[in-house]
Amino acid sequence: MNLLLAGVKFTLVLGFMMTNALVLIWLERKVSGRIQNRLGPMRVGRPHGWLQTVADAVKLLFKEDVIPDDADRLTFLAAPAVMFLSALLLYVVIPFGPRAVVMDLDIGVLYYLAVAGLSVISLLAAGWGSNNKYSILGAMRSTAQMLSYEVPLILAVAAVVMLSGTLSIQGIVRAQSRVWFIVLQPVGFLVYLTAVLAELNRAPFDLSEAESELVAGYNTEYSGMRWSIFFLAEYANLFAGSAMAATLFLGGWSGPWLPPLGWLLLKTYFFVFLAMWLRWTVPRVRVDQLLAVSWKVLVPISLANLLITAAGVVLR
Amino acid sequence: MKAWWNYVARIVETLASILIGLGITFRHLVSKPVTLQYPDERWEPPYTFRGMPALLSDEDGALKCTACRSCTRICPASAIQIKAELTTGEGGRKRLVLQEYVVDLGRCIVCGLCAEVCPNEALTMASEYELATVDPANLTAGLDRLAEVGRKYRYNNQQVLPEGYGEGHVVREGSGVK
Repeated sequence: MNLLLAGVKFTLVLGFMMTNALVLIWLERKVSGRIQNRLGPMRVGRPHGWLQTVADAVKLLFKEDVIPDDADRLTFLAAPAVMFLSALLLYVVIPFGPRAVVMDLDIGVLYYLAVAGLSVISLLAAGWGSNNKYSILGAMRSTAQMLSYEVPLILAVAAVVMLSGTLSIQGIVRAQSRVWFIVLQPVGFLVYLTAVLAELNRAPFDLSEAESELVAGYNTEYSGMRWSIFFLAEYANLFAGSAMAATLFLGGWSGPWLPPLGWLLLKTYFFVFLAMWLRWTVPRVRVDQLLAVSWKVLVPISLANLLITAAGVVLR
Repeated sequence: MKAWWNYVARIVETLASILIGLGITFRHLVSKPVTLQYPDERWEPPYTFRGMPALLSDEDGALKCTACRSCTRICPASAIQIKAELTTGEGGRKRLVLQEYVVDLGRCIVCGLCAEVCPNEALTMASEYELATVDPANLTAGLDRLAEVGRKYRYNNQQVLPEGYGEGHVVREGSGVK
């Protein structure tokens, strides 16, 4: 019985993750088109080319599977799998409703942060396994970036954990029943938002795949299905990061009138849209700027924020 | 203290400029896209547009071409061929009568020199631009086709305007028509 339930949950989450990633890719193309005064995809599927990403996915599935001669085969093949798995594992703790969560872990926040850090392994594996200068440069960059942005990310989340007094994600949602943490933690929210964009390798922190200098970074040598898995996982991660932002700072699934799932999706899509919006607004930063922003700005600020929060919690 | 202040000021400045940038991109996001969905929507070219050449007729419907061959001589691509016959009309006046006028659209570079040089303003560059074809026969336009296309144009204030210009087509900003 437990196994059956687990199977149903797995299928639901996997299905949601895949279809949602397809929708997000379509949305990204639409938003970028409109920001550039274009229409974006219009032809495949009416209205507004809603079938475009489905057509693309089918096309990618049928493409030739290319593995470079000099690649480290095992690493090269394992990297997309690890990437996909780490994205999928994130969905375990995302609370879609008061009871609609795969598993409400007591250490949900810790679990989320740990699994989110896992994707760096797959990027490094992809870069190393490809045996390509651009790939390894992109992978090294994203490793440096993820390691340095993990620190402010965790510090910002730690302040939220301090306020709610629990590491359980459902507990954090419940702790926001009176006031959302974005009100109590405006600085922590901004730090989290910046750090999570860097963590997701999203513009303006998309140095690891800076096409103007690195071809495509760690996925230079990938094509067809393997490449599409990276692409899908990237958008699945974007959704997970946004869902986490909504849960930690905007009260997650809680809200009047709408069902919990509706509220969570609404809040999450707001952050997803914000990430797309920022992508077409802010230019990409340089590597030194990227690391300087993390160590010289985000870390001290989030540390100060943590200190003030701690004082507030103690004095309450 | 000053360094401290600079540090805070730079962060505030960065956040403010990002907000301004977001405002600008949002304005573009909600503005109307400039894309024209080509086969569904069509663009009406300005009257100075150079599409395929066409032969103009006068009010009585007769072609204005006098077969002087100025166009064949100036054509850089040698795309125009004219066949004409020398006839003797009333009073013993000799004149050339146009027999055939062929434009090889595959050779034509749409430069408009033929229309420019024509002393009788018998030739114009029509705005027809969808000239791609799967049948090579459509690449040569004879007298009938050139005259037919030309009948869609009238002389107006020394500008050749297509008949019904500006009606029922998408007229875009900057197309030269007010």
